[in-house]
Amino acid sequence: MTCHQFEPLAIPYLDGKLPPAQRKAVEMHLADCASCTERVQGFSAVSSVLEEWKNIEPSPWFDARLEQRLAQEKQASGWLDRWLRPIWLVPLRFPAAVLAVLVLVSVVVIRTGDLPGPEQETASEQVAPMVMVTAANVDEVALYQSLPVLENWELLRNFEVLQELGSATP
Amino acid sequence: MEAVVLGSDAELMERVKDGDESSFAYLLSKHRDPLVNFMYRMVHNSAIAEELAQDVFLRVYRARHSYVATAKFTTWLYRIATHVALNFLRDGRHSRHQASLDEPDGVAGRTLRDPGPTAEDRLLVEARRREIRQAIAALPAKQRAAVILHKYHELDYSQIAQSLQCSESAVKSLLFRAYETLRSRLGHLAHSRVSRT
Repeated sequence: MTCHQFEPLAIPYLDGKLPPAQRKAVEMHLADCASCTERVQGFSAVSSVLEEWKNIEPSPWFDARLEQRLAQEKQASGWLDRWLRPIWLVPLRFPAAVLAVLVLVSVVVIRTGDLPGPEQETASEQVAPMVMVTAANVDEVALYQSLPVLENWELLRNFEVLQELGSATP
Repeated sequence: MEAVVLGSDAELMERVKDGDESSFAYLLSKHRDPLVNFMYRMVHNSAIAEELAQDVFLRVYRARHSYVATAKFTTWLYRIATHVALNFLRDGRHSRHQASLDEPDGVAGRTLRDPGPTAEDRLLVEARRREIRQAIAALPAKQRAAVILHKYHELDYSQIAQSLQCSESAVKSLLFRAYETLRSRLGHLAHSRVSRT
């Protein structure tokens, strides 16, 4: 065993918490290593010195103060309970009504989910319908714009003739 | 007079979950002094130690419904306490109270449990204790917690590891390093103690 390997075993050794095999290995190391032996003796002495730091007693008002803080805590949690309990007890009191409300809400949510939600659509989802709509609009607009043309188709068809007639007029 | 409450701490905590206030009162009275002393040794100020110990009990009360008796109640309690103490030290709030290191144990109105027989002896004892307090206060927070839990609360390595949220081997290393530092700082006290006895 090296000094480095001994280090994490030093305190368990002093505590008597090592299994027999490890304890024997530590003792063999200590028999050969004056430095680690000095360490262990030093740790043991310091451990005794630490015992001189005695416990203090809590102040006389500790319990009263803690009771006060606990009472505030209970009051706060009691207030929450009073507000939350009616909500949690509703399902127990009116199961049919709650079930009906849940079904109604589900239907509304499902129906609403069918409708396009402009705020929830992604950019790609928004682009595709726009292209289609735009394509459809172009056709329709083109058609609408050409309606007068179609209505005056005969006039246009004879436009050159009219021009010729006009130019021929003195 | 308080009613006699029987059962392990974990059983009592289970009763607290069911709303048994007397079990909680019993747990408070049982763990009050050790917890205040743990906090006092961590933060070196009795008023702050009491405040932090109360914080721990309040946290225990709030967490009573989530308590699962898979570990010893003491381990759970000191895990919360260590968390509270380390948070306090990390926040740097303790730096405003460093003067308390020079105060004797048991501030005004408090009774020392082990006063020396004469004024001179008491001064000597107090000087040695001050050195011990200062040596422990100089340790890094995790080493300090490990030493306090190990030396003054006799938690085993597994419990200390859970309190500090590290491995058992890490705890043994923390303790080794802490005792190395304490040996160099308090070694002379050990020698003078040996020479007196």
